[in-house]
Amino acid sequence: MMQKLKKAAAEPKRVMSAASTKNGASRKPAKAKSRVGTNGSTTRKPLLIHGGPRSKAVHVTEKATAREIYKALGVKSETVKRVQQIIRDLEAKSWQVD
Amino acid sequence: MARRFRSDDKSVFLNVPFDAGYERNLIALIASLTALGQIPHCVLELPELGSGRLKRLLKHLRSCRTSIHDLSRVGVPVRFNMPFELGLACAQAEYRKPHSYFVMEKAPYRLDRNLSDLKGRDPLIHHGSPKRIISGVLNMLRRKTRNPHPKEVFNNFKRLSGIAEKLKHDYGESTIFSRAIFIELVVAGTELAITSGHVKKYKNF
Repeated sequence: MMQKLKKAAAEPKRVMSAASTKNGASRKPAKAKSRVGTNGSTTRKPLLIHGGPRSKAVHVTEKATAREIYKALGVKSETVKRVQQIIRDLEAKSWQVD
Repeated sequence: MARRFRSDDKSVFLNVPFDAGYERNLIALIASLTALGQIPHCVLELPELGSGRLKRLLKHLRSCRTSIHDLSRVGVPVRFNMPFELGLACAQAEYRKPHSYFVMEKAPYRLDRNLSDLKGRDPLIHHGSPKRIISGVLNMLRRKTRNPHPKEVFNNFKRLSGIAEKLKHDYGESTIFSRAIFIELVVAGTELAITSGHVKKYKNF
């Protein structure tokens, strides 16, 4: 009896893995649920809140084109051309320094 | 009849301090937002036509889907503008859908003491560094695909800083906080984003 107890103590304890059940049968891992929209809804809809409580979904932003950006700012093509020239000048200057 | 403003999904309102010490951070914000294909807006953009600053502010907030509020300026002289504008954005998010807002701070846990009503929100802590602002904004407004790399945006920020110096010199201003310089900086940021391949070019420009 003592020997049996000693042997049991010496043996490492069996640790159950997450994917196995008590009777040894393997358990299918839970399938990840698609959470497309916000608040766990599975329908695709635009995000509403971000920067809110930590549980809120992440904001998926849309991308504007250069045209949209300039239109929103009310910028004319002359301004864009002038800025492009400034960028070119500075680029040329940096090459000279290098 | 009053004109109704449609909130633009790609417009971001910037509520930041207008002082010389914040210049580099504003340039970092412009560089990162333009790289993400967002349209930065600021109260400086609207001309003063006698309607007052508050009206201009509300008009801008209403037209932007997202707003970024930097509450890092604390101390003497006390500035209440930024918390006030954050309050307006909170009210808009609550009562006029849809609006989302981000809060930025310089020091960690300070916001919990200074503005305890906002507890439970994670502000972006930037420690006053443009690099952290860039990575923070890229994180906050991250898309599912085609996100710009922070290093590329930081390179654009450095180039944009050079352009800001040139613009200040051209306009004879001591800071970048003027209408013309802000708009031209956004244009320059967009042009740099086009060369990096983050924003689609418009053929007529």
